[in-house]
Amino acid sequence: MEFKKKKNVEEKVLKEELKEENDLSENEEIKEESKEKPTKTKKIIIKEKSSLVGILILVLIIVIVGGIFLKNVNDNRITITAKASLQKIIEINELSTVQYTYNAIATKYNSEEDKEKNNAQYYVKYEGIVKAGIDFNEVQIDIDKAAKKIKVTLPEVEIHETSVDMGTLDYIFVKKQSESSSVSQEAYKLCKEDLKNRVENEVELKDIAKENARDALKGLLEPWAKSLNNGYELEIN
Amino acid sequence: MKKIKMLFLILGCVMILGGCDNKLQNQQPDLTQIRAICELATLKTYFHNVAEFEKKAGVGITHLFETDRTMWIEYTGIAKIGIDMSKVNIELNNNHVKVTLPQAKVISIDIDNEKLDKNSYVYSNDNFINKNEISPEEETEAVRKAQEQMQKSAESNTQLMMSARERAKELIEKYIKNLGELSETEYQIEWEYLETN
Repeated sequence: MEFKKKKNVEEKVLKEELKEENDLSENEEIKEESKEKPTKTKKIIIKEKSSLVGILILVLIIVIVGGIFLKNVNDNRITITAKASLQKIIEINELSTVQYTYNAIATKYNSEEDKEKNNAQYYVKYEGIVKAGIDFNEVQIDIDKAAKKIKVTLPEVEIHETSVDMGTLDYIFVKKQSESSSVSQEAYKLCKEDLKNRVENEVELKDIAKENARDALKGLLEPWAKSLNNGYELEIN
Repeated sequence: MKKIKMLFLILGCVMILGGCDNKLQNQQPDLTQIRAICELATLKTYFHNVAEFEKKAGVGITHLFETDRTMWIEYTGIAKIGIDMSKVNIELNNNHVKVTLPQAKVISIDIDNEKLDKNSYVYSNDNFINKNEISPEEETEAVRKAQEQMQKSAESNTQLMMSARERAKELIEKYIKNLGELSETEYQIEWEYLETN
């Protein structure tokens, strides 16, 4: 009986020792696991971050490539073809001796009242060319043998051309409703009118044209002036 | 929280790059405003021009439901043809005159104002959901191309170019004969034609 009791106590102690050992080893395992846990979490976080950066880079590449592709496609969707057929021919004799290039801005108003209030519909920037000269057929040449002069009388200087390059029209629409279809033809006429008005105030332009016409005819007539007996004087008016 | 911030960053990049359309243009001022020329225009020609403009529907979310558009512009273009008088050379040797004439060229192109109005433009119908509008700049570009075509058409018309040069020759000949009458000299005129301008 006592032996049994002793045995039971021994078994109890053994069990308790075993339990203690197990607890110890469990604790050690837990400690090891907790040491491993921070390393594992770190790795996961790094992995997640890398994949997110990778996704971001991929998205950026897709956006850039896609954007370039779309832009190319959308930029090249316009086709323009044109046909021209000769209708009429007129003979002229215009000797143009000066060319003036204008870069100007015309303004569209709906009424005089709007103009006074500076209430514009739109502005249009344009490049225009003005050419002036004389009618070559109207040049009069006389020889004064007594005075030994070749007298040249030039006709009045005319404006031969006031053209607006339609390809240079650029717009700023103040009133959105004025940006309508076929506004370009209205703008073109506005620019032409504007250019015509500007040219009327350019007195110097006609003077320069006359001066250049004088030089041009002098160049043409000098061989004759020199070839005539004892040389003749050239007088151009 | 961090994931949400990242998402916003991605969305921001998409919006910025998607909206990029930088067109920075540097325009130099035109310094050659006035210059001396010596052009003898001998023919004024009128061309009947038709510009055909096609604008296809765009690609992308912002262009959904767009339709293709067509526009025609019909107008009269004017081209003046003649020669550069500064390249005309006259050599006088007693009563012998040698005149060198350059080739004729298109001196200027213009649009007949009176024949250009709203009726000159014809448009196809547009979609009311998402419009594929034709801008004034695009209309202008269509006319510019038509003018270019008209110039090419005139330049490639050999008969027209020869007629213009012939007319210049007549004017100069008349001029020389007039001088001959005044100086009581009968001039023999020799014509030489330059094949390039």
